[in-house]
Amino acid sequence: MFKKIVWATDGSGSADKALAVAKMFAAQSGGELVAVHCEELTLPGKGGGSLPVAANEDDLKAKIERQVSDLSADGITATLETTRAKVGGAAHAIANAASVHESDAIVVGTRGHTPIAGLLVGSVTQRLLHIAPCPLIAVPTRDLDWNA
Amino acid sequence: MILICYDGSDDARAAIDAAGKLVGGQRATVLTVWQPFAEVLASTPLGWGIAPGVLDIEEADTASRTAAQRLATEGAELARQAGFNAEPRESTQLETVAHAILDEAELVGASAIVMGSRGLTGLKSLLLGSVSHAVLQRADRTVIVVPSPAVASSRKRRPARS
Repeated sequence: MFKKIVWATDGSGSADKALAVAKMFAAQSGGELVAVHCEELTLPGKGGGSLPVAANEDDLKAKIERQVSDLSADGITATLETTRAKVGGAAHAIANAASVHESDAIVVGTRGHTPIAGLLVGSVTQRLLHIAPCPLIAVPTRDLDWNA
Repeated sequence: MILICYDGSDDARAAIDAAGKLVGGQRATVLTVWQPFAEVLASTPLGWGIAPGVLDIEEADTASRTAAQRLATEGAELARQAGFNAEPRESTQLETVAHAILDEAELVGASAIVMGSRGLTGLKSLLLGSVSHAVLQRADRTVIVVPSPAVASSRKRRPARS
């Protein structure tokens, strides 16, 4: 059975859909869930400083922290890992985390924040297809019925 | 119901194993998609030029269908070993392989589509296209993409390029 599942989240509604599926798998297998959030940073400006790409990064982090503690309340062993990467580096950061944790699968939503790439499959998800060291479970924003 | 795409590759075998661990115990349809010979000809430079009198299209299609049935049966057997209540299916592609997979998923009411990743990267994946990309792009159900053990281990502990 699956022992450890990475839930990749950017705090979006799409990631919430993925969480529902990740939670189901974790509950079924009695496995551990690792929430991985990658804060993407802009390239350094003149002063050398970088800013989070998401203007509401603090709100997103607070939301994810809340979701992780809700999981623990539901009896699922869940931890949060926050990483940082330059803009565009989120997929590699997530794949690395899955590798380090020897995760059995990565659960991810197919629509993220990135507005233009988000019209198609999220760019992070698309890149993960090529670099994920384990099965990738891509959950669409449109709903699904697992009991069908 | 789970739809498992099977083409006999190592990735597809790995996909069945991984799917068994994740969602085993459910009903599954194991699908092998084959390409009609007319489509093969249409996509070659010579096109129909080599066809008349040289090859019997119907015969070629029968052979393809039989091969697909054999593969699907093999995949269903693997799926049963992985804990699924599995039935084989072959289907011909009307537009692309991805469309055939999505149509079948709709037909059987699959809650998830399971497929292997061919492990192509960078330019190669752009040039050759990727069935898993195309399926992800259009699917309105969960898609589970599984790398073969060899591909998975080659991707492990790779330094971030960020």
